[in-house]
Amino acid sequence: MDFSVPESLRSLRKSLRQLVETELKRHDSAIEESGQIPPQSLDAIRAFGLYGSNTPKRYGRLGLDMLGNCFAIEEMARAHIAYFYTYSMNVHIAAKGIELHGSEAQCQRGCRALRAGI
Amino acid sequence: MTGCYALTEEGAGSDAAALQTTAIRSDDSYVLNGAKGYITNAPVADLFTIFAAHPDDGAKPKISAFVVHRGAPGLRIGKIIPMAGGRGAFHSELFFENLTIPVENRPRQGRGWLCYRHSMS
Repeated sequence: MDFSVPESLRSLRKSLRQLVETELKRHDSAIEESGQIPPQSLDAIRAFGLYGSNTPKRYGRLGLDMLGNCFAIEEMARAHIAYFYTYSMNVHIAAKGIELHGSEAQCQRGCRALRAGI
Repeated sequence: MTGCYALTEEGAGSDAAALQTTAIRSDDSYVLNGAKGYITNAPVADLFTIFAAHPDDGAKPKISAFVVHRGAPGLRIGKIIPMAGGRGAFHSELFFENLTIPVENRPRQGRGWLCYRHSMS
């Protein structure tokens, strides 16, 4: 069995790490002091497309598979666990059930906004 | 938009088969009563996916998921629960006091188990 990481995911992980190092980690102290994630950090996560990390590419999102999403969670959690909570709750739990078992109208009303994080 | 996933209860933990929150059909709506705890993002969420049991389904009531927007009458957000290692994220209680939800806000009735399992996996 081949356990090597595909080049596309290695490249993604490199980009994620850069996002974490340049945009997220520097707010660690602010999160600890205020108890809140600064809005500019969430903007950076949105701009990267992570709010739609497991949404198919045909909807204009990243369309990452399970391994790719694990990389996203792992890298963001290196900065601060609060990023994991906020991002993962939106993308992997709150939106997924609606996407898989909701009607088209329910997805239109809620799912797409959750995926976009706006 | 920020979402949250309201499953965990004080007496059930995250055991979806032991939920005490009830959903009773009333004409074209469901009326929810109960409480949740440790719900991540609840204090800041715009949209809530809430799990509740249908007690009128017999000995093994099915569960359903319901989609509710912030500000719905009967949806009350309780105190924030500080959690070790959870600084920067919000976790709180949620209370449903005759929270009335239109039928169209419920993904397929009785399919809550699948919704739960697929969300978690």
